[in-house]
Amino acid sequence: MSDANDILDLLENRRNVLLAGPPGTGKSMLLSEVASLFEAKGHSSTPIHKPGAPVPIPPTPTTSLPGSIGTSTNRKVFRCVLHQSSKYRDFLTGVMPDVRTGTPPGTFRITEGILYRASEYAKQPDSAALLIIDEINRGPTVQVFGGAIVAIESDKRLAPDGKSTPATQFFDLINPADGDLIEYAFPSRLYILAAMNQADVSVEPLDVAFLRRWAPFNLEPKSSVLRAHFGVAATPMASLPPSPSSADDVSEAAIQAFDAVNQRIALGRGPEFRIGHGVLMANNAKPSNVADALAHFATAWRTVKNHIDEAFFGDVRGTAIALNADRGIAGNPYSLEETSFGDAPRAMINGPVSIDASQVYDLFVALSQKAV
Amino acid sequence: MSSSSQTIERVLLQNIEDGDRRKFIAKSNDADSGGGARDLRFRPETEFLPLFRRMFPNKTIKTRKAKGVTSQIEVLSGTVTWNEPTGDKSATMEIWPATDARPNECRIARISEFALDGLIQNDPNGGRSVFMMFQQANGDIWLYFTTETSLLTQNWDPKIKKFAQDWFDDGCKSAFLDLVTKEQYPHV
Repeated sequence: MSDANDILDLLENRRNVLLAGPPGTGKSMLLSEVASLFEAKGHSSTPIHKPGAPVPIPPTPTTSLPGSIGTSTNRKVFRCVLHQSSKYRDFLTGVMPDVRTGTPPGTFRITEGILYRASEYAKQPDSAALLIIDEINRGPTVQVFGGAIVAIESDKRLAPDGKSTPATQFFDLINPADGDLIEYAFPSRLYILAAMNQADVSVEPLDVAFLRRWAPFNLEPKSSVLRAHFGVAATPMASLPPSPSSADDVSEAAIQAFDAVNQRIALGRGPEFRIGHGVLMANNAKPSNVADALAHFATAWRTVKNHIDEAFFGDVRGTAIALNADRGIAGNPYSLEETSFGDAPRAMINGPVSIDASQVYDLFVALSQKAV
Repeated sequence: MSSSSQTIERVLLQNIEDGDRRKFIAKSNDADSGGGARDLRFRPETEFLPLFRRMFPNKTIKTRKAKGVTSQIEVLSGTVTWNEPTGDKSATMEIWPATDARPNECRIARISEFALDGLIQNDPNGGRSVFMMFQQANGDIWLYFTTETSLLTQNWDPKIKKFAQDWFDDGCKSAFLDLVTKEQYPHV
């Protein structure tokens, strides 16, 4: 079963799913795939060959979507990205100045935020709503959800028929219709799928109480995707040639280097700091000769190097280990130098500011070497 | 055979023009149809050759002579199957890289040897005649012939239909959809 179908199953069971993974592991693509399946009722997610049929690839019978998602006739996907200026009123309801044309100065209005709109859609008969929140850890998440943080839990929703149960959790909300405070609860068929990069060091970790209200779904960097993308063998070559004779040789070296660097990052900083396979697949490029391959991977390497620098910021030795620069490997353009600042020992990494195409293959061979 | 093994992973489409029809019977050596009398050409090679590499598992090094110059090239090969009124037929298909004369065009070599010309479909509304090649999850590769009208109006899987619509909208000669790597050409 595909990741998208697994997530839909998880959404049906838990209502709230948190997709996490390093950058470049396909989170955004997966969000789109889930959204597409949700709205298309799971139809045609896997075209199948029917030999002998008048049309050899007819539609796949509908539908394998689980539970209430599968039985709802009306479905709608709502999307948003959380950011540092996101507010409770953008998600639920709130008061804000009304600057729309024709309204007198000093007028206020009540907003209908995206979570509120999705909730109202799902409250309609025979309807389900999926709210997708990307970058959920890049804003004041707990403040944005406010009193709704408990009410989003699957067992604290309204019953499928819209009636409250003993476990239903209500919270106060400004009613957009009349401005009164009302007690509000979320419907059963509201599904929330959020995504984040745990290693994003520019924001604070998410509140533990918030996190436990989500079913986690983690994505990993996959070199198998790279192998399929670049058309190289499914298993690593035992030893890399000293110089590349084809684009495949360069791709193989890049993939082995990618794996080795990620292993060292996982050891040094934690698995959440690894970098995803998508970074080597930028622009959908598939080089067909050695020169193109070297140029492509030299460009991709800059992103990997920046990621290493960021992940090990302030830790020169950690950076050096990630780059295999501490082992005196011939051909590695990076090397660790032990020096001093006055009496204090210091370490620094020597190497080019950016790697050009002529250096990148030797770099990958050096990076791919593992500690004995 | 289980349905999961027949899940479609890759689809390739090509518009069969008059010059291409003659390639299917090895009678195309005019410039308009792209030189070689028997090869179906795909451009840009930078897009299509990586797809063929994913589809065809076997690689052999062959010697090519052109204008007196000998060079070593990588040839991809694999078994393809198609349906005829008498039943299914299979043969080995080879994919050759671009030549100096036609850079950035990889090709299905010697399509004429498959004797497929009788299977080419004429579009009832004057649209494109389409050569289709698709690969299943079990690796099997099938050849098929259809038309623009069929792809747009008949009961095809919506993903295939949308892919075909994108291709018709773009107007280029060849297209592919890789449902594993999520790549598509022309890019949309």
